[in-house]
Amino acid sequence: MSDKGKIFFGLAIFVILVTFPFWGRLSAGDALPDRAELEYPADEEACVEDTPFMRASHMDLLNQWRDELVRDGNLEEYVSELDGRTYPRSLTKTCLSCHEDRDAFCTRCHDYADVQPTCWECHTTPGGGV
Amino acid sequence: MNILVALAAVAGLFVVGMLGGVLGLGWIFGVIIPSLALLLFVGGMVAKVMGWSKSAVPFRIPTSCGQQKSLNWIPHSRLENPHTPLQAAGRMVLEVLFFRSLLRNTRAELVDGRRLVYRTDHLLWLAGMLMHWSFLVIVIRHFRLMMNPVPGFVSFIEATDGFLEIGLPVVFITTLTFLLGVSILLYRRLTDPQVRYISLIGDYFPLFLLLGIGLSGVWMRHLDKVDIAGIKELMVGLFHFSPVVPDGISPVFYGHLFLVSMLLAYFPFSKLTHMAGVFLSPTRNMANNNRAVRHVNPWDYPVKVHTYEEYEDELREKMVGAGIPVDKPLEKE
Repeated sequence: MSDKGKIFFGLAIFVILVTFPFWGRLSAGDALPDRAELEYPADEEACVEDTPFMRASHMDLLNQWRDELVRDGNLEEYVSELDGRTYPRSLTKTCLSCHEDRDAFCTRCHDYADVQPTCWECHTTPGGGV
Repeated sequence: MNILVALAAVAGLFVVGMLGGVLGLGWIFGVIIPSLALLLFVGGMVAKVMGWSKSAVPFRIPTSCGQQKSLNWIPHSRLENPHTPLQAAGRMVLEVLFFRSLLRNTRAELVDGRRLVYRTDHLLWLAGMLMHWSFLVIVIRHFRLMMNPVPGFVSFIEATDGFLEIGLPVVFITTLTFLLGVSILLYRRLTDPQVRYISLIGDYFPLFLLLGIGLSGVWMRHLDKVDIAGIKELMVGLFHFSPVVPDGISPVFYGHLFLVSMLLAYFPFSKLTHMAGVFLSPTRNMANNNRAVRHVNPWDYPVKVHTYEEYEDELREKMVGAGIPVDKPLEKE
């Protein structure tokens, strides 16, 4: 009695499952870029903090602002460690004043990395965007 | 000693990966080593199973855990002692998905210092379930960093796993259950004297490796955050055969990726091959129908035989002459 047929069938399934990320490319085609292209504000040199920090830890900063402003009632402006400029602790007043089109910035990268933040369940976009 | 060697090996590997990141060896540690590791994993597993498939299976190995199919009025234990391939498949499904054999795990213990007692011990099963299932979900979750666009089921699993919405980024349930599962398995190996006595480096190393991978992942997600978009660029490039190495990826990521690469490369050559081996467990995947179906040995070849009739035909005269009884009397002339 030989089970070679069954074993090879199982192996084929194993190989297909393990190489799954490769197959996604075939179904998606070349339509999508391999990286998220973000539109940066034209008239600003720097963000609140330096770019690597903002890229990796912007959610920490937003959380910190939320805690300080909403929970601790700290109404003073945030002082940047980058250049000492001050900013209101506000998603709408600070972040969105430069990154006006969040679909071309926030959403593009969040979609790329498949992150589903809950910011917009409460916050609205100035100008009544989506 | 085994423990320290395994721990030092994992720590060393992590440091090597981090150093690769610090020294800017992104191409080696982000592209070449992971590619080779994946190749070794798939190729090694296939080669291993192909080798196993060459072993002949001459007969069924009945495991008498339950009542075999017998007379109609004797209840047949279908899953414990399957009679048909379908019933055997049922036993396999429960084995592969729910580790049913581990429910038989026992623990020997001295009670009052003199009485030896065997107890059922379900902790191994529980920790195994926690670790394996969490690991599967975690691997599927990571597809979000390897595929663009991200398939719907990956987002669904991610959203479900993080539905508690604790923290930012949210803490996944499987992150906790995975670390808990691995920790219990490690704790059991360290504290149970009988288990510890038979534990080798090859038993501790995978546990520390999984723990290292899990902790470095937690580190990147919750403690010292990394540039996810850059990491995804690297991974997508890898899976689209157009590798790029973006700047500014944290060394911790390279340490994490190096540990994962080592896990993949180590897989086919270690006890971790039980991932494939469980499907080929001879005592689990065969129906016990030896009494109903004749199993012919596949190695059977025509054997040259000399039957008693032929023997007597050849030597009848001498046998009769020596007074030895014969089946067929000598023909009278």
